[in-house]
Amino acid sequence: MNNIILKAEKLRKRLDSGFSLEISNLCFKKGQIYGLVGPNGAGKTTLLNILSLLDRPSNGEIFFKNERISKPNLLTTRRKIHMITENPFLFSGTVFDNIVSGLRFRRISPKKWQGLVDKALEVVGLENFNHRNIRKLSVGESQRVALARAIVLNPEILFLDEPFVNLDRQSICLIEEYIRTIQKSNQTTIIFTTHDFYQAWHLSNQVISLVNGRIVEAPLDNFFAGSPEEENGSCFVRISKNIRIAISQKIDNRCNICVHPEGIVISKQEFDSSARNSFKGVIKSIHAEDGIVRVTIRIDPSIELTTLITVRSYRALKLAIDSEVFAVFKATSVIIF
Amino acid sequence: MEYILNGINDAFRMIFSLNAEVLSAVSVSLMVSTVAIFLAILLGLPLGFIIGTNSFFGKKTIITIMNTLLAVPTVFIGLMVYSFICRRGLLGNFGLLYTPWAMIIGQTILAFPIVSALTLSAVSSIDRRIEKTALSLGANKRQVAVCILTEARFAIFSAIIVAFGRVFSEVGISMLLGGNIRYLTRNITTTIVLETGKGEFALGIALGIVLLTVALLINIVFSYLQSKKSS
Repeated sequence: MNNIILKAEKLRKRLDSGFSLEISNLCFKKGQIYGLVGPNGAGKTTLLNILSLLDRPSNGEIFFKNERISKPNLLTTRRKIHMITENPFLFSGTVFDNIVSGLRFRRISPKKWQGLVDKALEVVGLENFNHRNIRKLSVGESQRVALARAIVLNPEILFLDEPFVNLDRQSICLIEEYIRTIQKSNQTTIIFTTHDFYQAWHLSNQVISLVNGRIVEAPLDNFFAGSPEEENGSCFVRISKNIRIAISQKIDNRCNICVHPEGIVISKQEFDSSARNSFKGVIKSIHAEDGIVRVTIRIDPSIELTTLITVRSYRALKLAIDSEVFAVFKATSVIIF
Repeated sequence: MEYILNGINDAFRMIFSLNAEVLSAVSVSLMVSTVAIFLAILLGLPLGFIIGTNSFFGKKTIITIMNTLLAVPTVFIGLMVYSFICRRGLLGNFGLLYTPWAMIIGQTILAFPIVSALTLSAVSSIDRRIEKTALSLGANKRQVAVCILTEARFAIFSAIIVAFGRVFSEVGISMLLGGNIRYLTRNITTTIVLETGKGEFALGIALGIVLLTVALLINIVFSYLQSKKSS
């Protein structure tokens, strides 16, 4: 219980648009990484703004280390946490000016600034960027400067709103690495939002799903844990007694895998193809969502695969509940983490 | 055309010989307009900032009134202030009429809506993320305000320059409230009007040159600061 650093109780926030966020209870432990996932408009940023004390809820309480947040302790608590917004804003001036802004607000002696800035820039791999004008930075570099601006403050909780948006693959990997470094070296609690379920699972200790302003317990589509196996030079992950999934690379330890629902093909008959995963199953549910049909196929008593197909394909295949189909996907479609 | 050329020739002679009339008019203009601008900044900048950064009932009406005040003629301001500070007026006992202070009051009223409306426009158009970023970095209310003003400083600075240009070149208020008294309230613009009326172009042209030079200097400083920002 003492490990809980941030707690939200009976939160409610109504926006002018009519959207309402309602969270009954939410706890965050010290030194953990949390991924807040959900589709656009789910309320991720609204929740993050409230948790980071930048916005007030219409109702409800927030506790930081078991202390209720109220007006007298708002500023002191806010100085122990930090939020990096989506497309972070950098003040006009140099990288150095930006990184010391938080130190200046806290009235930390300017004599200490240079050492702290150099250390933070080293963590994000931007050594010698001290005097660079922020107008001359790329999107990825700006994101890293914002991260350095957070590191220098050594916050107990770091919030990141969509930190991977508009970044190339290389920059995403770098930011992920920095997030892990900050968490490990400082025992910082990190809470980030993303609409990418797989990235959330990949990076965080716990994923919180938010849909229409409410936390949902829905499991991720096609997410499984299993043990590696090898047979005739092919690699597999066994996810149940009867089911093993072919993967494209060798792994040594127990791992998590997932398959994008879009990557699974449904057929009425088994067919020869390059895809190394083909499972016979029974359709358990069919839901149409915005022109896309979501089909759940049970391939084992405890294993279900979800696929997304077009309405046209759904009609052409004449799919129905309890009908037998084959779910086919390539080994390279399996994401391992 | 010869009288104009002679006027220009005499004007330069007056400027370089530090003519007492020229010096007095320039110093009155600079002193009155500087104090008026200082007071207008003191009142208008916080007002523009508060209105620009807050949402409240009646905000649109206030903005409309402020924008309307931008177009008020100087003679009307002069007339209104006159009615208050003349001997029969509410503030008649203070003996302000035909003193530099009367001109300062009138010019402050002229500059105040310019500073406040343009400050409001400057802080309203800045990036909304500034406040959130500053708060998240641990800024208190005062520090957030400083951040916003710092980011909007060039727009605010240009508002001050516009206001200074307006008060420095106005003639209605100075004439009505200052009374154009030699060596006391006679400034650049009232001297130009007086001398032109007398058919004496030299002093008028000399003061016109000074007026243009001051405007040029202000703009050079502003351009320099802006180029420093973009580098």
